Formats: sequence, structure tokens, C-alpha cells
Amino acid sequence: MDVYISGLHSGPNPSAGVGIARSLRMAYPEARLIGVDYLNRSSGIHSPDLDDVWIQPPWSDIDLDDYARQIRGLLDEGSIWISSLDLEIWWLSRALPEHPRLLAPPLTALRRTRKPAVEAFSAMPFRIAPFISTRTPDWDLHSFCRKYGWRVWLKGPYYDAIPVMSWAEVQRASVAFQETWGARELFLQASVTGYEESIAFSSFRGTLLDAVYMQKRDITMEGKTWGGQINRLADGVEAALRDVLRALQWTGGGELELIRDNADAFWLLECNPRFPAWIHGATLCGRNLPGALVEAATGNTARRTDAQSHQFARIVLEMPVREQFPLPPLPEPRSGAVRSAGKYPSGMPALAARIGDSMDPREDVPVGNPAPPAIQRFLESDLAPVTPTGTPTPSWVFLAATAEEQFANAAALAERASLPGCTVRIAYSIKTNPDERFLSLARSKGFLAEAISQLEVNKALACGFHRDQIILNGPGKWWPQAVPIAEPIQAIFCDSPEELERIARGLNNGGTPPAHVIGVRLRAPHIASRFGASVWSPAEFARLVDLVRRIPEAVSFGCHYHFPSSALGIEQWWSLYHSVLRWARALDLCSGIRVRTLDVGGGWFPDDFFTDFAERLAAAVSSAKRILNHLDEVVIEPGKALVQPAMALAVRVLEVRRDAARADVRAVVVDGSLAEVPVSHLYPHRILVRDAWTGRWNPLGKGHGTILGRICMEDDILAHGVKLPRTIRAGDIMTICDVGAYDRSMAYEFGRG
Amino acid sequence: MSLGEAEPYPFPQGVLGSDLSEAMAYWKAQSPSYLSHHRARCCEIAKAWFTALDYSFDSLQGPAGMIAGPRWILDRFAWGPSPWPLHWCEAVESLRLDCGALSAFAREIYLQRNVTAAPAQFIQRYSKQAVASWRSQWASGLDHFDWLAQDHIYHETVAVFYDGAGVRIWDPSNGRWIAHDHTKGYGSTVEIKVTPPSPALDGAVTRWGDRTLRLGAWNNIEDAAVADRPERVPAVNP
Repeated sequence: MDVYISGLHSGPNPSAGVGIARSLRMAYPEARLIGVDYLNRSSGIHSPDLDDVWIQPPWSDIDLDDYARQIRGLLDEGSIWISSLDLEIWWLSRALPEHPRLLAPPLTALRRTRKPAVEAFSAMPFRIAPFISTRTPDWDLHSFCRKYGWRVWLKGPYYDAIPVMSWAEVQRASVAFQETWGARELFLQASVTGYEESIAFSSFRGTLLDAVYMQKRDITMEGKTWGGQINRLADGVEAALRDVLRALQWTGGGELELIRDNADAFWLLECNPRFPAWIHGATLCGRNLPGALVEAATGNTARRTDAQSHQFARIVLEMPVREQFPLPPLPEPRSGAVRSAGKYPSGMPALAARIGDSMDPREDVPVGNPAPPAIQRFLESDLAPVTPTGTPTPSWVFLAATAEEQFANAAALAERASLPGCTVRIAYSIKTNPDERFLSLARSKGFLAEAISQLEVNKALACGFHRDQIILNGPGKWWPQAVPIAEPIQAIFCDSPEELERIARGLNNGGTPPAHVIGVRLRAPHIASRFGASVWSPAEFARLVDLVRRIPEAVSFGCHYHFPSSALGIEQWWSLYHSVLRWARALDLCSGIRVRTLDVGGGWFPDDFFTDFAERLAAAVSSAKRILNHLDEVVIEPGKALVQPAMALAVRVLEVRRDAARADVRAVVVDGSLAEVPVSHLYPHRILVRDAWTGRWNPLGKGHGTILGRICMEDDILAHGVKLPRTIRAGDIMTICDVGAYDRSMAYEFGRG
Repeated sequence: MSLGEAEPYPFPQGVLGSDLSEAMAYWKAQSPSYLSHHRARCCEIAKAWFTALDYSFDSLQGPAGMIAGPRWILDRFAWGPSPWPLHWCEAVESLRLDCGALSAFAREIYLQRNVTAAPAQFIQRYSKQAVASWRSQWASGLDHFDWLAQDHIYHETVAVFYDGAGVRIWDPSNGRWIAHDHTKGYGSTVEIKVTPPSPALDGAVTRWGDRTLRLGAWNNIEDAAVADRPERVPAVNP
């Protein structure tokens, strides 16, 4: 009996070929096992369990039709083929459909294993982590990432997964993924925390032959199994698996990769259409799944495999190299390379490029939401004055109606969330955008003004705020020089124990209280931050308690924390909120000084502030009041949530660059730049193009175009992946929206002479 | 949900010495460790700091987070000899804590999370070489409990009552759950005693995986491991 086993890479992230060969050797000592690979660097070709080795040309060079004919000839003569390469399985299932000696799943079953839903196994008692197609607008992708706290994976439908933790990483990884694999559609999927476990199974023509449940007991840096425990599959799960495989008419090995969370719920990550690389570990534990598969396919009785343990470990072994396959020298190191050799070249991307259409046919791609992001309710009227002839560019456009709505909504939100005896107030962060029109609006809505320097205090006073409407925060709040205290401001939150000590000393010496509320900014122990008083050690906490005890009764005590929700993630921000409530309560109880003001921020993405945060604020205030019994004021600093959508940047097209066919627009150069949109890499900005004929503003959808800034800096790219209209011409006007916060306040002069 | 459980496998037996039974009798007579409280601000502040710290790490990640083992304790405190008696204010300032102190910490966290938890005392088997190494390490410490004998050790952990009918055992010294089926070989459980979480439950029976434990009594796990193993009762509760 000849058995061909392909995929012999045996590095730290190995293929299953060697494990399959070892298991079959135990089941069939007399069988002729022929290893197949596409690179003589695959160290598994030197495994002593192989009787012979085939080295084929790399996937980029191979004549696939001829190769398929060769394999068909072997199978027709009675040989068996077991592949451990996902993409080879796809190719073979298409090239040799349902050949009885090809021990691989049918194409129809493979297509149903598409990630991330893995629809084929939806009847199993497993959950699927939330996901979103990258075909949806960037605006929604960013929202998804915020919702799941930037603990997100970028995945292809059949191969590879990359963790992404920021918007810049999402963009970089998407480009790299598509360049490597050519997949038309990728997914972002929320990460699930838990233990990595697997089910491996063996099935022939829809009949489950055997299955094991493996719990990893040791993993490599890449998360690959390095030791595990083999368990029997629970009856109910086995029955469900049996039904699924019957429906799929599955032939061959398979692996379901799972995460078991702390509540013992199982999350299905993916289905591999082959035996896992650790499969011989199961054989050592008495469950020879490859042996069972060959027995079912050939009718030849496999030798019984006795259990030697119920666990397995991997070790590294040196092997003599086969004389006919000497190791080639390493590739010439690239000029200036830090390492002498690169990653093992699997050749799989080359095969993906050749068979991609059969794996990812256009008709199979679920329809996402290709519509461009909607523009805000008032944007059309706000932008009416912007015209190609009447508007200088680049220039900032104040979106008055949008701003009015944002501020009015925030005021209403505070009113709704207020409780009897506990008022909720909004504070406008001056640094986010010191434009007097925003400050004026804030004052008219009854907001407080939050300043981080004496210059900002002066600005607030100049804009009509009273001293008792000002909150002073930050590490440099007395810069450039402290103004003598004539009348207290509303609140001061100290950024360090040293500052608190200084203020307490002044108060204890009979000084005039500089504020009605003296508080401290807390630095939560699990968040990396340079701001606030640390409570990471018991000594730091005890010192803080002692300092708080020195605050006289004449002033109120408050606690403050600030961390941008858009960077941390929505749920993580709420966790931080509840954590800070506990720290505030601990300070309150240990010092005997009651916490009367809670000041929280910030940096919400506008959508999150007016949806999730707005929905949860009332309950959060109730919770704070319950935990801090003497609380009488909650101050919310929405930061960029108020102003980000309330300004746009008008820019003009300087040059249009088309593709080789002179049809699609590849890029445009505009007279705006990173100097006016300095945080363009942090989140997607909605971009509108004014139709020269109708005068209407049309949002740009997703595409392959790029908007290049005017300045000579490599990273002056204002947008990637946008669909630029073919009709666009030099001189046309565009607006980059969502620039009303740090884009505006951190804009700088550059390249203007 | 359980997907299944391990195949039984008869590992080779260890060889026990004649004085081990004396050591085991001594260990079984011990009460689990509890931290002392000065009934003063020093310990109040220490305890408030400690429980607030847990809120910053694990407590607020939903129901699964409430059960999650407080792994952060090992980020903050290394395992090593502790002087006893040990007060809260001394414990939080310590760089090293033994298994009794770490377990008292972890137990307090679960109680603060409103998760029922109780001391779990273990007799475990390791190797004579490991025990000799620990003995050497401990010899330089302060007055300490003698927890080593031949290839066996006395160990303290936390029993977490998670579904009304069973327990999991969190080992704060190693930052992991103890496998109920690890009954043979290095690191295996020989005997376990779970203190009843309330006096009314003294003598009651609970589950630890497929094991049955009587609360308030030492349960011999090693001997019962294979003979008493019931057939699997899989649960499929997605």
C-alpha cells in the first residue's frame, strides 16, 4: 500500500505530514509512505518514517494541470493521498473532485468552512466571536474596533490572522494581507480570551471514524501546540460532530480550533480541513486518527495503537539528512539585513494567487455595506457657502448647525442623567479646540470650561466664563505664571501627590482656597499613563490617604480621571470608570474625607458619546451615587465628542493621477496636508467631493485611490482606499470632515515659507 | 460546557518513606491560613487598597471575569517564605508570600466579588529533588511551617464555588487552576480538604470535576482516581 503524504515542513510552526507519517507507520508497519513537499528546506523530508520523498517544484513554478494528472495516475493505481496543506487540499478537491483515494473533503464542504462564521459547523455548540467584513466603510470598521477595545484580529476567509490594535495597524495589515494572499474580502473579528483547545477528527465519506478533544498544555511563542492532553469527546458534542460531518460528506482529517473561556463556553475560531500538526500526539495516546482514515479508505485493517500516555509533549530532535536531499546553502543575506535568513518560504501565497478564484469566487462573497458613510444631518447646509471660487483653500470651515446640535445634545444628556442631589455637568475642554465660537457655545449651554494652563484660564475668562465655571487640570496648570487667587475657581484636580501636598499645605497655613473643589487625578493601576497619582503600591495609596485627610472641611474633595475612550475601547473605558469608583470609595473610607465631585473624561468618538455613553450615563451616575454616598456632582468632559464633527477642512485638487489606462483615478494631490490634519492616521475622516455640475457634496466610498497632501513628507497621505470619481479635475474642491478637534488644535505651519 | 475528559492512564507509583505518614498526619491537623488584622487604620488601608486593586484588573469583565483567577496577584507578589502570623498591613508590603498568604489574598478577592470561596488544603506529590530544593530555599527564611516531606508537600489554594454544585481550585502560587484529573506523577494531588464555606455545609458533598469531595474532610484523590472514576456525564450548554 502506497500512501502519499504532503506537507513536511517541520519547524516551530509545522505541517502535519511528519505526524501523519509516524501515525501511519504505527498502524501499517509495512506500508510504503512517500513524503511530498515543494521545497528541500522542509526538514520533515528527512523523517525516518518516510520510505521515499518527492520534491516538487515550488508552487509558483509547478504546472498544475500536469501535476494533477500525475496525482490522478497514482490514485488510479491504488495509492492514497493525504495532504496537510490547506491550499493544496482546495486545489486537489477542485482538480480531482471526490476521487475515492484522495482523502480530502469535497469542495462544497470546504467552501462552508469559510471564516469567520464557519457556517458548516454552526450546528455545533460553539459560539462565533463578533466580526465585520472589511468591505464595510472604514467609519464602521473603526467603530467595531472601538467597541471591542482594539482587541481585534484581521482574518482572511481561509488563512492567516493578524492581531491589530490601532487604526494604523488595521490599515497596514490590510494592505499587507491583500498583497500576500490576494483575498478580496477580509474580516475583523473580536478577540476572545481563554484557553486554546482543539477537536481533531477523522471522517470518511461523511462517517465519523474517530475524534479527540485536545487541551493545549504548552504553546510556542506563535501559539502553536507544544504539549497537550488528549481527551475523549463528550457524547453530545461527538453526536453533533457526527451529524455535521455526515451532512458535509466529509472525507479526511479535520481540526476545529476553539477557545474555552472562563465560563467554559467554547468559541470556534476556524476549521482546518486536515489533521492538525500535533496529530501524532493523539496517536501516542491511543487514538490513531490517520490510521482510522486509511483503514476506512482501503479496507486494510490497521494495527491497534496502544495508549502510552494521555498527554504528549514535543521535543526537538536532530536527524541525519537524506543523502539524495542535501541541504542547500541559505539564501544570500539581503543588503543591510539584520538576520541572515528569512522566514520559511511556504509557497502558499503563490498557490493562493493561482487558485484564489476557486476559493473566493465573487458570487460567494457576502454583500457587505459598500455605501459610503452618511453625512451629518446639517452638513449639507453647513457646507453651502463653500464654493470653488468663493472659498480659499486650505481653510477651516466652522459647521455652525452641526456644532449647535452637538452642544445641545450634550446639555440635554447631562440634564437627563442628573439625579436629585447629584447634578451632572458638562465641561468643555479648551485644548480640544480653543476656537471662541465653541467656547461661546459652551458658555451659552451652561457648560464649565476645563483649562490646562493659565493661558487657557485667561481665554475662558475673556470668553465670558466666570471663575466658578472653570476647572483647572493637568500637570502644568499654573504655567506660565500663577495668577494671584482673588476668587476661587470651581475645581482644581492635582496631577500628583506633590501638587496635592503643596495645595494642602497652603490651605492648612490659612491660605485662601484656590477652588471650591480640590481633588486628585487618579492613575488606575492597569492603565499605562504618565498622569495622575499612582495607587499601584500600598505605600503610594497610604500617602494619598494621608494627603486627602489634610484637605480642610471648607473645600470639597473630588476625584478625577481621564483616558480617551476611543483609544482604550468602549467596554474598557467603562471598566476603568467602575474601577475608579472603587478607588474613590477606598480614599473616601480610609481618609474620612467625602468624595463630593467626580470628574471623568474623555476623548469619546462622537458616535460613541451620543449612543453608548448617552445610554449608559444615567445608570453610571446612579452607580457612582450608590458607591460614593456623599457625591453631589458628576462632571463629564466629552473632549473631541463635541467638536470633532463640527469643523471641516476645504482643500483643492492640485493634480489628478490616473492609472495606466487613463481611466480610474489612482491619486489626487490636494493643497491640504498633514499640517492641517495631523491626526489623520488615528481614525477615518469622512471626505466629500463637490460635484462641479450639481454643487452637491458627495461622500467618497471605498476604493483604491489615495489622497496625497501637498508637503514633501513621506507620510503626508490624507486618505488611503477611497474611490475617487473619474470626473474629478484639478481645481475641484473637497472637504475633509471630522477635523474639529485635535486636527484643528494641533495643526501647525509647515512649508509656507 | 465540558467537551470531555482525559483517558485514564496508569502512571508508575512513587516510593514513599516511613516518616511520610507522620508528616501527613501533621499536615492534616493544620488549619488553613488566615491573615490577621490589627483592627487599626494600617490594616484597613491595606485591605481597601488590595480589594480596589482587583477592580482594576479582573473583577469587571462580566460574569466570566468574576470567576477568573486573580492572576495579577503573582505580578505584584512573588512566591516565597512568609513569617506568621501575618497581618494585612504586613502582607501587602511583602515582596514574597507563601501559598497560605497568597491563598488568603485570592480568597478575599473572590469574596469581594460575591463569589463563594473557601480554603482548600492539599497534599501533593512532586519529586525528592524538588522537595530538597524547596527545603534549601526555605531554610534561609524566617520561622515557617514545615510543608515538605520526602517527595510530598503541603499546599494551600482556594476552592471557588462557581455553579452551585461544584468547585474549581485556584492555585494563586502558580496562577492556574488545578486539574482535577492530575492524580499521578509530579505535581499531582494526593489528598484535598475544602473548608466548608459555612458551618451548615460541614460534611456536605461537592463536585470537583468528576471527583466527589466531602467538605471539611480530607479526601484521598490519588487512591480514588481510577477506581471511582465515573463514566463521563457530558454537559452541552452553549
